[in-house]
Amino acid sequence: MQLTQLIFNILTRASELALIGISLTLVYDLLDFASFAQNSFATLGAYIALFFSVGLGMNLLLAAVLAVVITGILGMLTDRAIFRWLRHSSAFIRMVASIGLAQGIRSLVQVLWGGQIKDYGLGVQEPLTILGATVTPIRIVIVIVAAAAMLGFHLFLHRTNLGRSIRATSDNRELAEATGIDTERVVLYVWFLACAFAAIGGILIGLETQLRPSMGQVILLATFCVVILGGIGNVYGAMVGSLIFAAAENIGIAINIGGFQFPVRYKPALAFIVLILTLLIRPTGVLGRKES
Amino acid sequence: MFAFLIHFLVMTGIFAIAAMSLNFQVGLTGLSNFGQAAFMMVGAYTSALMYMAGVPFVFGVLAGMIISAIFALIIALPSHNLRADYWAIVSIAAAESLRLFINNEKWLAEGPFGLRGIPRPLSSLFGDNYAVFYFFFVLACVGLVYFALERLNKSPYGRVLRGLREAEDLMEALGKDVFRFKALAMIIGGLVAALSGSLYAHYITFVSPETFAPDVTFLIWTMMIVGGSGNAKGVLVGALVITLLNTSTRLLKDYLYLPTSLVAALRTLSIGVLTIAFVVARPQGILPEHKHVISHAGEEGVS
Repeated sequence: MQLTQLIFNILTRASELALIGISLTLVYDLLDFASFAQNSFATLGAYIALFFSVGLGMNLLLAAVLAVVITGILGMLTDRAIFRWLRHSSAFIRMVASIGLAQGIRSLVQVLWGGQIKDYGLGVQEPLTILGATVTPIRIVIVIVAAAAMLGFHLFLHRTNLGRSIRATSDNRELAEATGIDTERVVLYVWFLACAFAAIGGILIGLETQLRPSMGQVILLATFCVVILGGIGNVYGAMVGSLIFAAAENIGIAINIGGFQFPVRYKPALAFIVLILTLLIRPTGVLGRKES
Repeated sequence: MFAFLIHFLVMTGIFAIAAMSLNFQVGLTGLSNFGQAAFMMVGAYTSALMYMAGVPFVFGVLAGMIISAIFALIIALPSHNLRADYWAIVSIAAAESLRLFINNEKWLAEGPFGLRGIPRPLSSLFGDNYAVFYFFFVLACVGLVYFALERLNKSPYGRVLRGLREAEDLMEALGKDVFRFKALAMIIGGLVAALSGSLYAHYITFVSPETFAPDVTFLIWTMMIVGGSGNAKGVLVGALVITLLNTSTRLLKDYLYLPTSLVAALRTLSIGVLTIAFVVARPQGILPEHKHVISHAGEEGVS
Protein backbone atom coordinates (compact mmCIF):
# COMPACT_ATOMS: atom_id res chain seq x y z
CA MET A 1 0.00 0.00 0.00
CA GLN A 2 1.15 3.48 -0.73
CA LEU A 3 2.56 5.44 2.20
CA THR A 4 0.31 8.48 1.80
CA GLN A 5 -2.72 6.20 1.63
CA LEU A 6 -1.62 4.43 4.79
CA ILE A 7 -1.10 7.72 6.60
CA PHE A 8 -4.50 8.93 5.54
CA ASN A 9 -6.23 5.77 6.70
CA ILE A 10 -4.45 6.08 10.05
CA LEU A 11 -5.45 9.74 10.42
CA THR A 12 -9.13 9.03 9.71
CA ARG A 13 -9.35 6.17 12.17
CA ALA A 14 -7.36 8.07 14.81
CA SER A 15 -9.64 11.12 14.47
CA GLU A 16 -12.76 9.12 15.23
CA LEU A 17 -11.21 7.19 18.10
CA ALA A 18 -9.52 10.23 19.66
CA LEU A 19 -12.78 12.12 20.14
CA ILE A 20 -14.50 9.26 21.97
CA GLY A 21 -11.22 8.57 23.78
CA ILE A 22 -11.16 12.17 25.05
CA SER A 23 -14.71 11.65 26.27
CA LEU A 24 -13.74 8.53 28.19
CA THR A 25 -10.58 10.01 29.61
CA LEU A 26 -12.34 13.21 30.79
CA VAL A 27 -14.89 11.21 32.77
CA TYR A 28 -12.15 8.98 34.14
CA ASP A 29 -10.07 11.95 35.16
CA LEU A 30 -12.75 13.85 37.05
CA LEU A 31 -14.95 11.03 38.32
CA ASP A 32 -12.41 8.25 38.63
CA PHE A 33 -14.12 5.39 36.84
CA ALA A 34 -13.95 3.73 33.43
CA SER A 35 -17.29 4.65 31.84
CA PHE A 36 -18.77 2.13 29.42
CA ALA A 37 -21.41 4.68 28.45
CA GLN A 38 -19.32 7.18 26.44
CA ASN A 39 -19.46 5.02 23.32
CA SER A 40 -23.24 4.90 23.64
CA PHE A 41 -23.35 8.69 23.86
CA ALA A 42 -21.46 8.66 20.54
CA THR A 43 -24.21 6.49 19.05
CA LEU A 44 -26.90 8.72 20.53
CA GLY A 45 -25.28 11.87 19.14
CA ALA A 46 -25.07 10.34 15.67
CA TYR A 47 -28.77 9.43 15.76
CA ILE A 48 -29.88 12.82 17.06
CA ALA A 49 -28.02 14.41 14.14
CA LEU A 50 -29.83 11.95 11.86
CA PHE A 51 -33.15 13.06 13.32
CA PHE A 52 -32.47 16.73 12.61
CA SER A 53 -30.86 16.29 9.19
CA VAL A 54 -32.74 13.45 7.50
CA GLY A 55 -35.83 13.49 9.74
CA LEU A 56 -36.50 17.25 9.81
CA GLY A 57 -34.61 18.09 6.64
CA MET A 58 -32.17 20.46 8.32
CA ASN A 59 -28.76 21.41 7.00
CA LEU A 60 -26.34 18.66 8.08
CA LEU A 61 -23.89 21.05 9.76
CA LEU A 62 -26.63 22.70 11.79
CA ALA A 63 -28.08 19.29 12.67
CA ALA A 64 -24.66 18.12 13.84
CA VAL A 65 -24.13 21.18 16.03
CA LEU A 66 -27.57 20.78 17.57
CA ALA A 67 -26.96 17.08 18.17
CA VAL A 68 -23.62 17.75 19.85
CA VAL A 69 -25.15 20.33 22.20
CA ILE A 70 -28.16 18.15 23.02
CA THR A 71 -25.98 15.11 23.72
CA GLY A 72 -23.87 17.26 26.01
CA ILE A 73 -26.95 18.39 27.92
CA LEU A 74 -28.15 14.78 28.15
CA GLY A 75 -24.76 13.97 29.66
CA MET A 76 -25.31 16.62 32.34
CA LEU A 77 -28.77 15.24 33.05
CA THR A 78 -27.24 11.77 33.41
CA ASP A 79 -24.94 13.07 36.08
CA ARG A 80 -27.81 14.72 37.95
CA ALA A 81 -29.98 11.60 37.70
CA ILE A 82 -27.40 8.87 38.30
CA PHE A 83 -23.78 9.65 38.99
CA ARG A 84 -24.38 12.45 41.48
CA TRP A 85 -25.71 9.81 43.86
CA LEU A 86 -22.67 7.63 43.40
CA ARG A 87 -19.92 10.14 44.21
CA HIS A 88 -18.97 8.24 47.35
CA SER A 89 -19.63 4.72 46.07
CA SER A 90 -16.77 2.57 44.85
CA ALA A 91 -15.49 3.10 41.31
CA PHE A 92 -16.73 -0.36 40.55
CA ILE A 93 -20.36 0.57 41.38
CA ARG A 94 -20.10 3.58 39.05
CA MET A 95 -18.74 1.28 36.38
CA VAL A 96 -21.75 -1.04 36.71
CA ALA A 97 -24.08 1.97 36.54
CA SER A 98 -22.34 3.08 33.34
CA ILE A 99 -22.82 -0.37 31.81
CA GLY A 100 -26.52 -0.18 32.67
CA LEU A 101 -26.61 3.27 31.13
CA ALA A 102 -24.82 2.05 27.99
CA GLN A 103 -27.33 -0.74 27.55
CA GLY A 104 -30.20 1.67 28.25
CA ILE A 105 -29.05 4.20 25.65
CA ARG A 106 -28.43 1.57 23.00
CA SER A 107 -31.84 -0.01 23.59
CA LEU A 108 -33.48 3.41 23.53
CA VAL A 109 -31.86 4.16 20.17
CA GLN A 110 -33.20 0.85 18.91
CA VAL A 111 -36.70 1.61 20.23
CA LEU A 112 -36.75 5.11 18.72
CA TRP A 113 -35.03 4.50 15.40
CA GLY A 114 -35.22 0.74 14.85
CA GLY A 115 -32.35 -1.68 14.37
CA GLN A 116 -31.81 -1.27 10.62
CA ILE A 117 -28.76 0.46 9.16
CA LYS A 118 -29.19 4.15 8.34
CA ASP A 119 -27.05 6.92 6.84
CA TYR A 120 -27.04 10.69 6.44
CA GLY A 121 -28.01 10.37 2.77
CA LEU A 122 -24.87 11.96 1.37
CA GLY A 123 -24.88 9.56 -1.56
CA VAL A 124 -21.81 8.09 -3.23
CA GLN A 125 -18.77 10.28 -2.80
CA GLU A 126 -16.46 10.99 -5.73
CA PRO A 127 -13.00 10.10 -4.41
CA LEU A 128 -10.15 12.58 -4.83
CA THR A 129 -6.54 11.69 -5.47
CA ILE A 130 -4.12 13.52 -3.20
CA LEU A 131 -0.42 12.67 -3.34
CA GLY A 132 -1.30 9.29 -4.78
CA ALA A 133 -3.80 8.44 -2.06
CA THR A 134 -7.46 7.89 -2.84
CA VAL A 135 -9.50 9.90 -0.39
CA THR A 136 -13.20 10.70 -0.19
CA PRO A 137 -13.93 14.35 0.65
CA ILE A 138 -15.81 13.29 3.76
CA ARG A 139 -12.67 11.74 5.23
CA ILE A 140 -10.85 15.05 4.80
CA VAL A 141 -13.74 16.72 6.62
CA ILE A 142 -13.46 14.13 9.42
CA VAL A 143 -9.75 14.76 9.97
CA ILE A 144 -10.20 18.55 9.86
CA VAL A 145 -13.19 18.55 12.25
CA ALA A 146 -11.39 16.26 14.70
CA ALA A 147 -8.21 18.34 14.58
CA ALA A 148 -10.19 21.56 15.07
CA ALA A 149 -12.13 20.06 17.98
CA MET A 150 -8.92 18.97 19.69
CA LEU A 151 -7.17 22.27 19.13
CA GLY A 152 -10.21 24.12 20.40
CA PHE A 153 -10.29 21.90 23.45
CA HIS A 154 -6.61 22.55 24.15
CA LEU A 155 -7.16 26.31 23.96
CA PHE A 156 -10.25 25.99 26.13
CA LEU A 157 -8.34 24.09 28.83
CA HIS A 158 -5.50 26.60 28.94
CA ARG A 159 -7.03 29.95 28.04
CA THR A 160 -10.40 30.07 29.78
CA ASN A 161 -11.30 30.22 33.44
CA LEU A 162 -13.56 27.21 33.16
CA GLY A 163 -10.78 25.25 31.49
CA ARG A 164 -8.40 26.17 34.30
CA SER A 165 -11.01 25.17 36.87
CA ILE A 166 -11.33 21.78 35.18
CA ARG A 167 -7.59 21.26 35.26
CA ALA A 168 -7.40 22.38 38.86
CA THR A 169 -10.25 20.08 39.91
CA SER A 170 -8.65 17.18 38.09
CA ASP A 171 -5.28 17.80 39.76
CA ASN A 172 -6.53 18.13 43.28
CA ARG A 173 -10.20 18.40 44.10
CA GLU A 174 -9.79 19.52 47.74
CA LEU A 175 -7.33 22.21 46.80
CA ALA A 176 -9.60 23.42 44.00
CA GLU A 177 -12.49 23.60 46.42
CA ALA A 178 -10.36 25.53 48.90
CA THR A 179 -9.62 28.16 46.26
CA GLY A 180 -13.34 28.67 45.76
CA ILE A 181 -13.98 26.53 42.69
CA ASP A 182 -17.44 25.00 42.69
CA THR A 183 -16.27 21.48 41.82
CA GLU A 184 -19.80 20.12 41.48
CA ARG A 185 -20.37 22.66 38.72
CA VAL A 186 -17.07 21.72 37.11
CA VAL A 187 -18.16 18.07 37.11
CA LEU A 188 -21.37 19.04 35.31
CA TYR A 189 -19.43 20.95 32.64
CA VAL A 190 -17.12 17.99 32.22
CA TRP A 191 -20.12 15.74 31.58
CA PHE A 192 -21.29 18.22 28.96
CA LEU A 193 -17.89 18.33 27.27
CA ALA A 194 -17.33 14.57 27.46
CA CYS A 195 -20.69 13.70 25.94
CA ALA A 196 -20.42 16.47 23.34
CA PHE A 197 -17.04 15.09 22.26
CA ALA A 198 -18.47 11.59 22.10
CA ALA A 199 -21.29 12.94 19.92
CA ILE A 200 -18.82 14.54 17.49
CA GLY A 201 -16.99 11.22 17.27
CA GLY A 202 -20.24 9.35 16.68
CA ILE A 203 -21.37 11.74 13.94
CA LEU A 204 -18.00 11.45 12.19
CA ILE A 205 -18.21 7.66 12.25
CA GLY A 206 -21.77 7.89 10.94
CA LEU A 207 -20.54 10.15 8.12
CA GLU A 208 -17.77 7.78 7.10
CA THR A 209 -19.75 4.56 7.39
CA GLN A 210 -23.32 4.05 8.56
CA LEU A 211 -25.46 4.35 11.66
CA ARG A 212 -26.58 1.36 13.66
CA PRO A 213 -27.52 1.05 17.35
CA SER A 214 -24.34 -0.90 18.10
CA MET A 215 -21.98 1.49 16.25
CA GLY A 216 -20.48 2.85 19.47
CA GLN A 217 -20.39 -0.44 21.28
CA VAL A 218 -18.36 -2.23 18.61
CA ILE A 219 -15.42 0.11 19.15
CA LEU A 220 -15.64 -0.04 22.95
CA LEU A 221 -12.46 -2.11 23.31
CA ALA A 222 -10.62 0.06 20.80
CA THR A 223 -11.59 3.17 22.79
CA PHE A 224 -10.43 1.68 26.07
CA CYS A 225 -7.24 0.60 24.36
CA VAL A 226 -6.58 4.10 22.99
CA VAL A 227 -7.09 5.66 26.39
CA ILE A 228 -4.94 3.21 28.35
CA LEU A 229 -2.27 3.36 25.65
CA GLY A 230 -1.98 7.11 25.94
CA GLY A 231 -2.29 7.16 29.72
CA ILE A 232 -5.76 7.10 31.23
CA GLY A 233 -6.98 10.46 32.52
CA ASN A 234 -4.66 12.33 30.18
CA VAL A 235 -6.45 14.21 27.39
CA TYR A 236 -3.37 14.47 25.19
CA GLY A 237 -2.70 10.82 25.90
CA ALA A 238 -5.99 9.95 24.23
CA MET A 239 -4.86 11.80 21.11
CA VAL A 240 -1.42 10.17 21.03
CA GLY A 241 -2.92 6.79 21.95
CA SER A 242 -5.40 6.93 19.09
CA LEU A 243 -2.62 7.71 16.61
CA ILE A 244 -0.47 4.83 17.84
CA PHE A 245 -3.44 2.49 17.93
CA ALA A 246 -4.65 3.42 14.45
CA ALA A 247 -1.09 3.02 13.16
CA ALA A 248 -0.71 -0.40 14.78
CA GLU A 249 -4.03 -1.49 13.34
CA ASN A 250 -3.36 -0.29 9.80
CA ILE A 251 0.30 -1.27 9.64
CA GLY A 252 -0.44 -4.59 11.34
CA ILE A 253 -2.76 -5.48 8.51
CA ALA A 254 -0.61 -4.01 5.74
CA ILE A 255 2.66 -5.76 6.59
CA ASN A 256 3.63 -9.03 5.05
CA ILE A 257 6.66 -10.66 6.62
CA GLY A 258 7.92 -13.59 4.59
CA GLY A 259 4.46 -14.54 3.40
CA PHE A 260 2.89 -14.18 6.83
CA GLN A 261 0.01 -11.79 6.72
CA PHE A 262 -2.03 -10.86 9.75
CA PRO A 263 -5.53 -12.18 9.04
CA VAL A 264 -7.88 -9.24 8.49
CA ARG A 265 -10.72 -11.08 10.21
CA TYR A 266 -8.75 -10.87 13.44
CA LYS A 267 -8.41 -7.08 13.19
CA PRO A 268 -10.56 -6.51 16.33
CA ALA A 269 -8.14 -8.72 18.31
CA LEU A 270 -5.35 -6.24 17.58
CA ALA A 271 -6.95 -3.93 20.13
CA PHE A 272 -6.61 -6.67 22.69
CA ILE A 273 -2.99 -7.42 21.78
CA VAL A 274 -2.00 -3.75 21.94
CA LEU A 275 -3.87 -3.42 25.25
CA ILE A 276 -2.09 -6.38 26.85
CA LEU A 277 1.32 -5.24 25.57
CA THR A 278 0.76 -1.74 26.96
CA LEU A 279 -0.32 -3.05 30.33
CA LEU A 280 2.68 -5.38 30.53
CA ILE A 281 5.33 -2.96 29.31
CA ARG A 282 4.10 0.45 30.40
CA PRO A 283 0.85 0.34 32.38
CA THR A 284 0.91 4.12 32.86
CA GLY A 285 0.61 4.66 29.11
CA VAL A 286 2.89 6.53 26.74
CA LEU A 287 2.31 9.98 28.21
CA GLY A 288 1.83 8.76 31.75
CA ARG A 289 -1.14 8.68 34.00
CA LYS A 290 -1.93 11.01 36.80
CA GLU A 291 -1.89 9.20 40.12
CA SER A 292 -5.04 9.86 42.09
CA MET B 1 -48.86 -21.88 30.63
CA PHE B 2 -47.38 -24.94 32.35
CA ALA B 3 -44.85 -25.28 29.52
CA PHE B 4 -43.90 -21.64 29.96
CA LEU B 5 -43.56 -22.03 33.71
CA ILE B 6 -41.22 -24.99 33.30
CA HIS B 7 -39.21 -23.14 30.65
CA PHE B 8 -38.96 -20.12 32.92
CA LEU B 9 -37.76 -22.23 35.85
CA VAL B 10 -35.18 -24.08 33.75
CA MET B 11 -33.79 -20.78 32.44
CA THR B 12 -33.78 -19.35 35.97
CA GLY B 13 -31.78 -22.34 37.17
CA ILE B 14 -29.25 -22.13 34.35
CA PHE B 15 -28.68 -18.41 34.87
CA ALA B 16 -28.71 -18.79 38.65
CA ILE B 17 -25.69 -21.09 38.33
CA ALA B 18 -23.85 -18.54 36.21
CA ALA B 19 -24.84 -15.77 38.62
CA MET B 20 -23.66 -17.73 41.68
CA SER B 21 -20.35 -18.28 39.91
CA LEU B 22 -20.06 -14.55 39.23
CA ASN B 23 -21.03 -13.79 42.81
CA PHE B 24 -18.21 -16.00 44.03
CA GLN B 25 -15.72 -13.96 42.01
CA VAL B 26 -17.23 -10.48 42.25
CA GLY B 27 -19.49 -10.41 45.28
CA LEU B 28 -17.14 -12.38 47.47
CA THR B 29 -13.60 -11.87 46.20
CA GLY B 30 -14.02 -8.48 44.55
CA LEU B 31 -12.66 -9.62 41.17
CA SER B 32 -14.73 -7.73 38.58
CA ASN B 33 -15.01 -10.40 35.91
CA PHE B 34 -16.64 -8.81 32.87
CA GLY B 35 -16.17 -11.88 30.70
CA GLN B 36 -18.55 -14.31 32.36
CA ALA B 37 -20.36 -15.17 29.10
CA ALA B 38 -17.10 -16.51 27.66
CA PHE B 39 -16.81 -19.13 30.39
CA MET B 40 -20.37 -20.22 29.63
CA MET B 41 -19.43 -20.31 25.96
CA VAL B 42 -16.47 -22.62 26.64
CA GLY B 43 -18.71 -25.01 28.57
CA ALA B 44 -21.50 -24.87 26.00
CA TYR B 45 -19.32 -25.43 22.94
CA THR B 46 -17.10 -28.10 24.49
CA SER B 47 -19.90 -30.29 25.78
CA ALA B 48 -22.02 -29.77 22.65
CA LEU B 49 -19.16 -30.66 20.29
CA MET B 50 -18.06 -33.65 22.36
CA TYR B 51 -21.58 -35.00 22.80
CA MET B 52 -22.17 -34.63 19.06
CA ALA B 53 -18.94 -36.58 18.49
CA GLY B 54 -20.26 -39.44 20.62
CA VAL B 55 -18.50 -38.74 23.93
CA PRO B 56 -20.79 -39.45 26.94
CA PHE B 57 -22.60 -36.37 28.23
CA VAL B 58 -20.90 -36.24 31.63
CA PHE B 59 -17.39 -36.35 30.15
CA GLY B 60 -18.23 -33.56 27.71
CA VAL B 61 -19.49 -31.37 30.55
CA LEU B 62 -16.41 -32.12 32.65
CA ALA B 63 -14.11 -31.38 29.71
CA GLY B 64 -15.86 -28.04 29.24
CA MET B 65 -15.37 -27.23 32.90
CA ILE B 66 -11.67 -28.08 32.75
CA ILE B 67 -11.03 -25.95 29.64
CA SER B 68 -12.98 -23.12 31.24
CA ALA B 69 -10.84 -23.43 34.39
CA ILE B 70 -7.68 -23.15 32.28
CA PHE B 71 -9.12 -20.07 30.56
CA ALA B 72 -9.94 -18.67 34.01
CA LEU B 73 -6.37 -19.21 35.17
CA ILE B 74 -5.02 -17.40 32.10
CA ILE B 75 -7.30 -14.43 32.74
CA ALA B 76 -6.34 -14.44 36.41
CA LEU B 77 -2.62 -14.20 35.59
CA PRO B 78 -2.45 -10.40 35.17
CA SER B 79 -4.84 -9.78 38.09
CA HIS B 80 -2.01 -9.39 40.54
CA ASN B 81 -0.09 -6.55 38.94
CA LEU B 82 -3.03 -4.68 37.43
CA ARG B 83 -5.39 -2.20 39.01
CA ALA B 84 -8.90 -3.58 39.43
CA ASP B 85 -10.45 -1.44 36.68
CA TYR B 86 -7.70 -2.30 34.19
CA TRP B 87 -8.14 -5.96 34.94
CA ALA B 88 -11.89 -5.65 34.37
CA ILE B 89 -11.16 -4.33 30.88
CA VAL B 90 -8.70 -7.18 30.30
CA SER B 91 -11.39 -9.70 31.25
CA ILE B 92 -13.88 -8.29 28.76
CA ALA B 93 -11.16 -8.09 26.09
CA ALA B 94 -10.16 -11.72 26.65
CA ALA B 95 -13.79 -12.84 26.49
CA GLU B 96 -14.36 -10.93 23.26
CA SER B 97 -11.17 -12.35 21.72
CA LEU B 98 -12.36 -15.88 22.46
CA ARG B 99 -15.71 -15.09 20.87
CA LEU B 100 -13.91 -13.67 17.84
CA PHE B 101 -11.92 -16.90 17.60
CA ILE B 102 -15.05 -19.08 17.59
CA ASN B 103 -16.64 -16.72 15.08
CA ASN B 104 -13.68 -16.87 12.69
CA GLU B 105 -12.59 -20.50 12.89
CA LYS B 106 -15.40 -22.11 10.93
CA TRP B 107 -13.71 -25.54 10.94
CA LEU B 108 -14.08 -25.71 14.69
CA ALA B 109 -17.74 -24.96 15.34
CA GLU B 110 -19.45 -23.53 12.23
CA GLY B 111 -18.30 -19.98 13.01
CA PRO B 112 -21.08 -17.37 13.14
CA PHE B 113 -23.75 -19.93 12.16
CA GLY B 114 -23.35 -21.69 15.47
CA LEU B 115 -24.12 -25.26 16.42
CA ARG B 116 -27.63 -26.38 15.53
CA GLY B 117 -29.52 -29.43 16.73
CA ILE B 118 -27.38 -30.10 19.78
CA PRO B 119 -28.77 -33.41 21.09
CA ARG B 120 -30.48 -33.54 24.46
CA PRO B 121 -29.14 -36.28 26.72
CA LEU B 122 -31.66 -39.05 27.62
CA SER B 123 -34.23 -37.44 25.33
CA SER B 124 -35.60 -40.80 24.15
CA LEU B 125 -36.39 -41.74 27.75
CA PHE B 126 -38.57 -38.74 28.57
CA GLY B 127 -40.15 -37.77 25.27
CA ASP B 128 -42.71 -34.99 25.74
CA ASN B 129 -41.90 -34.60 29.43
CA TYR B 130 -38.29 -33.73 28.69
CA ALA B 131 -38.55 -30.18 30.01
CA VAL B 132 -39.87 -31.49 33.33
CA PHE B 133 -36.98 -33.95 33.61
CA TYR B 134 -34.54 -31.20 32.68
CA PHE B 135 -36.03 -28.93 35.30
CA PHE B 136 -35.24 -31.47 38.04
CA PHE B 137 -31.79 -32.04 36.59
CA VAL B 138 -31.05 -28.28 36.58
CA LEU B 139 -32.54 -27.96 40.06
CA ALA B 140 -30.16 -30.65 41.32
CA CYS B 141 -27.23 -28.78 39.73
CA VAL B 142 -28.36 -25.49 41.32
CA GLY B 143 -28.57 -27.20 44.71
CA LEU B 144 -25.16 -28.78 44.31
CA VAL B 145 -23.51 -25.53 43.25
CA TYR B 146 -25.28 -23.55 45.97
CA PHE B 147 -24.15 -25.84 48.79
CA ALA B 148 -20.63 -26.25 47.42
CA LEU B 149 -20.12 -22.49 47.08
CA GLU B 150 -21.74 -21.75 50.45
CA ARG B 151 -19.49 -24.33 52.06
CA LEU B 152 -16.45 -22.65 50.51
CA ASN B 153 -17.78 -19.25 51.55
CA LYS B 154 -18.03 -20.31 55.20
CA SER B 155 -14.66 -22.04 55.17
CA PRO B 156 -11.43 -20.29 56.17
CA TYR B 157 -10.74 -20.02 52.43
CA GLY B 158 -13.94 -17.98 51.96
CA ARG B 159 -12.91 -15.73 54.78
CA VAL B 160 -9.64 -14.94 53.02
CA LEU B 161 -11.57 -14.19 49.82
CA ARG B 162 -13.79 -11.70 51.63
CA GLY B 163 -10.69 -10.27 53.20
CA LEU B 164 -9.22 -9.75 49.73
CA ARG B 165 -12.34 -7.86 48.73
CA GLU B 166 -12.21 -5.57 51.76
CA ALA B 167 -8.49 -5.00 52.19
CA GLU B 168 -6.12 -6.69 49.83
CA ASP B 169 -2.95 -5.23 51.30
CA LEU B 170 -4.00 -6.40 54.75
CA MET B 171 -4.28 -9.98 53.48
CA GLU B 172 -0.90 -9.64 51.85
CA ALA B 173 0.52 -8.34 55.12
CA LEU B 174 -0.95 -11.40 56.85
CA GLY B 175 1.17 -13.52 54.57
CA LYS B 176 -1.58 -14.75 52.25
CA ASP B 177 -0.55 -15.60 48.75
CA VAL B 178 -2.98 -13.13 47.17
CA PHE B 179 -2.50 -14.33 43.62
CA ARG B 180 -3.14 -17.98 44.53
CA PHE B 181 -6.42 -17.09 46.24
CA LYS B 182 -7.59 -14.90 43.38
CA ALA B 183 -6.66 -17.49 40.78
CA LEU B 184 -8.54 -20.16 42.73
CA ALA B 185 -11.64 -17.95 42.91
CA MET B 186 -11.47 -17.43 39.15
CA ILE B 187 -10.99 -21.17 38.53
CA ILE B 188 -13.87 -22.21 40.79
CA GLY B 189 -16.11 -19.59 39.19
CA GLY B 190 -14.96 -20.74 35.74
CA LEU B 191 -15.81 -24.36 36.49
CA VAL B 192 -19.32 -23.41 37.62
CA ALA B 193 -19.95 -21.02 34.72
CA ALA B 194 -18.99 -23.74 32.22
CA LEU B 195 -21.57 -26.05 33.80
CA SER B 196 -24.19 -23.36 33.32
CA GLY B 197 -23.17 -23.01 29.66
CA SER B 198 -23.41 -26.77 29.05
CA LEU B 199 -26.85 -26.90 30.64
CA TYR B 200 -27.93 -24.06 28.37
CA ALA B 201 -26.57 -25.65 25.18
CA HIS B 202 -28.26 -29.03 25.72
CA TYR B 203 -31.56 -27.41 26.65
CA ILE B 204 -31.89 -24.73 23.96
CA THR B 205 -30.08 -27.06 21.44
CA PHE B 206 -28.57 -24.09 19.60
CA VAL B 207 -25.59 -21.92 20.43
CA SER B 208 -23.66 -19.37 18.38
CA PRO B 209 -21.07 -16.71 19.23
CA GLU B 210 -23.99 -14.25 19.42
CA THR B 211 -25.53 -16.31 22.24
CA PHE B 212 -22.60 -15.31 24.45
CA ALA B 213 -22.34 -11.63 23.57
CA PRO B 214 -21.29 -9.17 26.31
CA ASP B 215 -25.00 -8.48 26.88
CA VAL B 216 -25.27 -11.90 28.51
CA THR B 217 -22.45 -11.07 30.89
CA PHE B 218 -24.30 -7.90 31.76
CA LEU B 219 -27.54 -9.82 32.30
CA ILE B 220 -25.77 -12.03 34.83
CA TRP B 221 -24.26 -8.98 36.51
CA THR B 222 -27.75 -7.49 36.81
CA MET B 223 -29.00 -10.67 38.49
CA MET B 224 -26.22 -10.41 41.04
CA ILE B 225 -26.66 -6.68 41.71
CA VAL B 226 -30.46 -6.81 41.91
CA GLY B 227 -30.46 -9.92 44.08
CA GLY B 228 -27.74 -8.77 46.43
CA SER B 229 -24.07 -9.23 45.64
CA GLY B 230 -22.25 -11.30 48.23
CA ASN B 231 -25.36 -13.23 49.22
CA ALA B 232 -25.96 -16.49 47.32
CA LYS B 233 -29.65 -16.58 48.32
CA GLY B 234 -30.04 -13.03 47.06
CA VAL B 235 -28.40 -13.98 43.79
CA LEU B 236 -30.95 -16.79 43.37
CA VAL B 237 -33.74 -14.24 43.89
CA GLY B 238 -32.04 -11.92 41.40
CA ALA B 239 -31.84 -14.70 38.81
CA LEU B 240 -35.56 -15.38 39.32
CA VAL B 241 -36.58 -11.72 38.94
CA ILE B 242 -34.42 -10.96 35.92
CA THR B 243 -35.25 -14.22 34.14
CA LEU B 244 -38.93 -13.48 34.70
CA LEU B 245 -38.44 -10.08 33.10
CA ASN B 246 -36.38 -11.62 30.33
CA THR B 247 -38.70 -14.51 29.44
CA SER B 248 -42.09 -12.98 30.19
CA THR B 249 -41.61 -10.23 27.61
CA ARG B 250 -41.31 -13.06 25.10
CA LEU B 251 -44.62 -14.37 26.35
CA LEU B 252 -46.18 -10.90 26.32
CA LYS B 253 -45.31 -10.22 22.71
CA ASP B 254 -48.11 -12.58 21.69
CA TYR B 255 -50.55 -10.21 23.37
CA LEU B 256 -48.91 -6.86 22.71
CA TYR B 257 -48.82 -7.11 18.89
CA LEU B 258 -45.46 -5.36 18.77
CA PRO B 259 -42.59 -6.30 16.46
CA THR B 260 -40.15 -8.78 18.01
CA SER B 261 -37.15 -6.46 17.65
CA LEU B 262 -38.99 -3.68 19.45
CA VAL B 263 -39.95 -5.99 22.31
CA ALA B 264 -36.31 -7.12 22.55
CA ALA B 265 -35.12 -3.51 22.70
CA LEU B 266 -37.72 -2.64 25.33
CA ARG B 267 -36.59 -5.66 27.34
CA THR B 268 -32.91 -4.68 27.34
CA LEU B 269 -33.94 -1.09 28.06
CA SER B 270 -35.90 -2.15 31.14
CA ILE B 271 -33.01 -4.31 32.37
CA GLY B 272 -30.60 -1.38 31.96
CA VAL B 273 -32.94 0.96 33.82
CA LEU B 274 -33.52 -1.60 36.57
CA THR B 275 -29.77 -2.00 37.08
CA ILE B 276 -29.24 1.74 37.37
CA ALA B 277 -32.20 2.05 39.74
CA PHE B 278 -30.76 -0.62 42.02
CA VAL B 279 -27.22 0.74 41.92
CA VAL B 280 -28.47 4.20 42.87
CA ALA B 281 -31.28 3.39 45.29
CA ARG B 282 -30.43 -0.02 46.73
CA PRO B 283 -26.87 -1.04 45.91
CA GLN B 284 -26.99 -3.87 48.45
CA GLY B 285 -29.73 -5.60 46.42
CA ILE B 286 -32.97 -7.27 47.46
CA LEU B 287 -31.28 -9.55 49.98
CA PRO B 288 -28.15 -7.85 51.32
CA GLU B 289 -25.08 -9.79 52.35
CA HIS B 290 -25.04 -10.91 55.99
CA LYS B 291 -22.60 -9.25 58.28
CA HIS B 292 -19.95 -11.78 59.13
CA VAL B 293 -19.11 -11.37 62.75
CA ILE B 294 -16.23 -13.50 63.91
CA SER B 295 -16.79 -13.63 67.64
CA HIS B 296 -14.18 -16.20 68.49
CA ALA B 297 -11.25 -15.00 66.50
CA GLY B 298 -8.56 -17.63 66.31
CA GLU B 299 -10.88 -20.52 67.06
CA GLU B 300 -10.43 -21.93 63.60
CA GLY B 301 -7.02 -21.86 62.02
CA VAL B 302 -6.99 -19.80 58.86
CA SER B 303 -4.80 -21.57 56.39
